[in-house]
Amino acid sequence: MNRLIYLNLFFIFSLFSYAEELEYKLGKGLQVGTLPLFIGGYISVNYENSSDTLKIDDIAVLAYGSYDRLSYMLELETEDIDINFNGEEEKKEEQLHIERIFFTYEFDENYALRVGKYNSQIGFWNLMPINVLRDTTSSPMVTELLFPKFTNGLDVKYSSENRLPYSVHLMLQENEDIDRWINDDVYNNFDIDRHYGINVLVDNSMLSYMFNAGYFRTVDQENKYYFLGAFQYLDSSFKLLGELGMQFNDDGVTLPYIAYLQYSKQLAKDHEAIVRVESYSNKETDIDDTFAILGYTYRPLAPIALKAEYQWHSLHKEDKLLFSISILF
Amino acid sequence: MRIFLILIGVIMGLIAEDFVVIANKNSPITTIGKSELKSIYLKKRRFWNETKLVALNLPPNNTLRQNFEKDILEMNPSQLETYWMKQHYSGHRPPYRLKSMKSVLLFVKKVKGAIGYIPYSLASKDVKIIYRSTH
Repeated sequence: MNRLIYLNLFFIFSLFSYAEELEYKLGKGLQVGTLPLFIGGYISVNYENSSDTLKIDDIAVLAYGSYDRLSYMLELETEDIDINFNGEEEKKEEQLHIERIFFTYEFDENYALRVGKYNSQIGFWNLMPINVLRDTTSSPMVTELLFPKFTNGLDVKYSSENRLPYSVHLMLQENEDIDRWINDDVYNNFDIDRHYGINVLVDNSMLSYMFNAGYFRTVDQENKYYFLGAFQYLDSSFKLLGELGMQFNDDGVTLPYIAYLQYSKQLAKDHEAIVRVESYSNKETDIDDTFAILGYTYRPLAPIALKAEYQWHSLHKEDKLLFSISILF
Repeated sequence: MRIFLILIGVIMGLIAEDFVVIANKNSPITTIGKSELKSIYLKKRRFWNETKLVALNLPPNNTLRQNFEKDILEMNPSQLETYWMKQHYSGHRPPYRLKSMKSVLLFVKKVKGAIGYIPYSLASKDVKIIYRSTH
């Protein structure tokens, strides 16, 4: 039901914008009148051959705006729906989730404070996690296993715009997931009630790099600590991206290493090829895997992505083919 | 006919006027570098000390805007579209767009943190020139 409501909302505001000759462009959202309120959203449908399922992965609505030094963001998402290819829909409770909700206050050019639930400022991939914006349908394992994707609490930011622009983020969480406000679920990759982390990002136009260190505690009282280094090199026709991390708990190392290196190349206008190599060792599950991904993305319009990828794993049973279509509104 | 069109293109290029970047008389900015301008127009930098900056754009098909984006942002329209799409997810909007250079001039005169680009010939004493393009 929620999905239908969302789809109708997208449809209505798209039509409304054209009817009123307001300026709406796909992928840029729509301003509500002259209010400091912009509405947008995104949807993604994925197919995976190993499970022969079609997954409605994301249906989300964004609402955001700013007034003077204060800005806000609300992102609501419905739970994933899996549909077997024989047409049977796996029954899942259709719940709304709070993916992000935060207020940001910018004091001056150096200091900003964010309060709420936000994408943890860790690595480059985690900052652009939705399918339509990321390079491949799948996300690197590092974003699933190493750190909490979302932080619920405070983010204190210091940034400097000197010759070498850099920023420092302090992430502070001492409470449970904000998603519990509206349901009993936790909408994060780890069920945590504490997270303290630091991020240092040097943003040097073409080459950016960052370092992260942090600690989080799961609700069942397990302490985990992580380190991550990441870099991104942007050229007009290609992009190089890499992240390398490790994690341990009070008993020892849990992830001695987890890493990926990705090269993406613009083949022609709207066409991109991606090669990614990933490797990790997980001592908790006793799984070691190294795999290569070859991906291809076609964007008939920038906010619409048609993607295909194949994964070759050292654990052969994990080999898979993925397709997806995703749209940003 | 083709040679004639090429010649016209070359002549138009030669007489393309330099642009200047202007700020309000009370703006804390005195001069600005290309990388700082880029940072402001990509909304990475939103303050100058304690003054909130308001970057102004002309319509997308305006030649001056195209020159500005090529010279300062060093990004083509497709790269910019992708960039602003990502910013939409992050909750940031592109620079405020005005219909004409005259509107840019008037806006900058009135708003302390406003920054805009106009042809050098339009610059007046009521605004401060903080950057001048050199072709």
